[in-house]
Order: sequence, then structure tokens, then C-alpha cells
Amino acid sequence: MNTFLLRIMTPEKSFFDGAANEIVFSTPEGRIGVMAGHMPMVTAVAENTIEIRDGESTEAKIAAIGQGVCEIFDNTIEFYVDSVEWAADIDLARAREALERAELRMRSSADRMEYVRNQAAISRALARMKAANDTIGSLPDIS
Amino acid sequence: MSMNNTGEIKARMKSIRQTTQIASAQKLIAASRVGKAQHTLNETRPYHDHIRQTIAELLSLHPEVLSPYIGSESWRIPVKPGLLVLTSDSGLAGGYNSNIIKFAEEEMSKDMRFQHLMVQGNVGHTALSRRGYQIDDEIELPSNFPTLSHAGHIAKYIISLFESREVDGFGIIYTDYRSAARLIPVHEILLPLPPETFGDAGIVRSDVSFEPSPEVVMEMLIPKYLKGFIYGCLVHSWAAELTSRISAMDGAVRNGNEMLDKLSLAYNRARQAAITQEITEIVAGAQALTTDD
Repeated sequence: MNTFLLRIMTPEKSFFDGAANEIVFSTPEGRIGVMAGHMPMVTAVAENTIEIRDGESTEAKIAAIGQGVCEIFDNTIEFYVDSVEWAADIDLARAREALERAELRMRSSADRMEYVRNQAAISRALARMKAANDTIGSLPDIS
Repeated sequence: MSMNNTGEIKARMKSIRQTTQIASAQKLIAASRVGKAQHTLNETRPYHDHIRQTIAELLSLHPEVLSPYIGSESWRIPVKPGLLVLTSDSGLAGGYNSNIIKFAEEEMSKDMRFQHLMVQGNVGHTALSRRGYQIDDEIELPSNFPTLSHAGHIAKYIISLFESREVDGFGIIYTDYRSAARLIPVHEILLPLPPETFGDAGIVRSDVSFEPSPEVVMEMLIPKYLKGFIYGCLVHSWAAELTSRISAMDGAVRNGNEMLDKLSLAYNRARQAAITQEITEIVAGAQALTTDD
């Protein structure tokens, strides 16, 4: 199977730098899959999960990924995103708590800035919960 | 004259020694932080340079993309601009705060239409509100340990003001850290971004498509660019604050040591004078006894 070079960068660190042969992630218009030899493209990335298959095992590696852009050129795929975290590293209980807190604040606050911030917190918590849940089977769809 | 009293000189020396110790500790703390601040800025730079590069590429491939965040050819002067001024929470930083506050006041006096003033740092906040400026306190702006997520909050807030048309332009005044000896207050435009900010895209990968549309990608990139830019300003100001503190405290320690030298000389003299006087008194007393015989 053909592979491509996958890089996932956040401002703090380089999260992934290696070969992969298929990835699936979300854009604002829905989920897309990319394989080797894809045409050059720059696409917006929505907060959700990313599935990475590297050919070594049939199981996809799953991570929660934040907003950003994905650039595809010359069989190299680069993600520039706010945050990214392997599903296995996510503390599901904490993500749930964060979601509850943000929802509570959302209901109690009329402030516009607060609203935007809570919305971001909610979508982040949902993406993390989804990533963590994926590895144990259930799959709530949030995209 | 108190200089003749050994007890008083000793007390004074003790207090100066304590002050010098505080100054020297402040200096060490600032010195250990300044390197770290520079290091974190350098680490995030490649990411933000890339975001800027992608915007440049998008603009050169799709000049028709009209982003409200980017200034157009028909440049119009903002009618109700906003301004963010970066000062520090704590003093003891030499001329750092007074320089930036003076510069901000000069800039604002050029343009009296400022609608929205935001100030980071207690020192600047107190100084400017005392001079009658209305300050927007909607979001908290601590000056220590700038983080990317904090820069992100500021960027989001400024964008929301811009989108709701409370302001139609936004500037930032911060201290540019060129070198330890060159700390320059500067005024930069955050919104709408001057097109020349993105400069020449260099070699453009021309057959690229932007999905779902150049506009959506642009909308995603601009807040990230602003966040990176603001983060750079925060770190520059912080490094400048720490550097000013290092040299101010260095001066304080030197002055303190000089004073301690002078005082210990005065102390020794006073002690010697007291001993001499005591001896004179004893000798005079003994002589008085012998002449009585």
C-alpha cells in the first residue's frame, strides 16, 4: 500500500511525523478520507477525531484534534492545529466534567464573549470524549 | 547627628542590607525567566510563520477573496479604532512602564477617536484610568507568564468587537525587545491587517485548491495568525519588562553596596570615637583621684 508523509503540528510541539497510508478527519463540511497521491489541497479542519492508519495494523490510531488547516502537497500531509491528543491519553471523566461545566455556564450566562468561549469548550470536550469513546466501541456522532 | 551613634548606623545598615537582598533576588528571578520567555517564543515561531505563509499564498492565488480582516487597496482610516496597551502588573522595572505609558498617551493624543482602550498590567491600568481614560475591563489581562491560550482569548475578544462593529480597527502598543539595550515602544495594527503584512508569498504552489472555499480557509487562518502575532507581542513585552527589571535591580544592588561601604566606614569611626572617649574619661577620672591625694 502506498504511503505518504504525515505531520501534525501544534504551536507547542510536533505531534506526529511519520508515514501513514490513510487518514480520516473532519472539515467544516463533513468527514473526508485522504490516501497517498491526493491532489494538492488546503482544507479547513474542524474540531473532531482523526483516524490514522499506517498499514502496520488494521486498527486505526485515534486522536482528538482541534481546529486548524490541513495542507496536502507532494504526498506530504501537514496539519496545523490548535491541539491534538491521542485517545488513550484522554481522561474521559475530566472531559465529561468539562462538558457539564461549560453547558452549565452556557445556560447561566448571557454574555456574548462567554458564549463564544463556552461553545469552544463544549466542542473541545465533545471531540475529546468522542476520541476516547471510539477506542472502547461506542461512537456518538457529533460532526 | 545620627552618624555618631553606632546603634543607629547599625540599624540603618541592616535595613539597607535587606533591601539589597530583595533587589538581588528580584534580579535573579527576572534573569532566570527572561531566557525561558525567549525560548518559548522561538519554539512557536515556525508554526506561526507557516500560517502567515499560507495566508500569503491564499491571497496571491485568490486576490478576489475579500476578508473583512484584511485592509483593501482603498485603505480607509478607522473611524472608531480600539487599542490594547501592554504594561506590567508589578513595578520595580525601571523605566519600562513609564516609557510605554508615555508612548501610548502620545499615540492616543494623535487620534482622539479611540472607542475602546484595553490595558494589560496594573501599573498601566492605574496610570491611564487616573488620567481619565475609559478602560474596557471585559477580559482579564495578566502580564506575567504569557501563554498561547491567553493570546487566543485576546484575539477572539478583539475579533468579536470587530465583528459586532463596536470598533472598526484595532491597534496594539507593546515594547519590542530588539536587544537588552534596545527596548522600543511600538504601535502595530492588528485589524484590519495591512495586506503588506503577508508580503511576498515566494514560490506559490499554483495548482492547489482551497476546501471548502478560500473564504472558509481564510476565516480559519486569520484568528490563528492574530493569536500568534499577539502572543509574540506579549512575550516581547514580558522579556522587555524582565530585562528592565534586571538592569534596575542591578543598579539598586550597586547603590546599596556603595551605601553599605560608606556606612561601615562611618560605623567604624563612630565606634573608634566612642572607645577613645571612654578611655579619655577613665584616664581623666583616674587622674582626678591621684591629684586629690
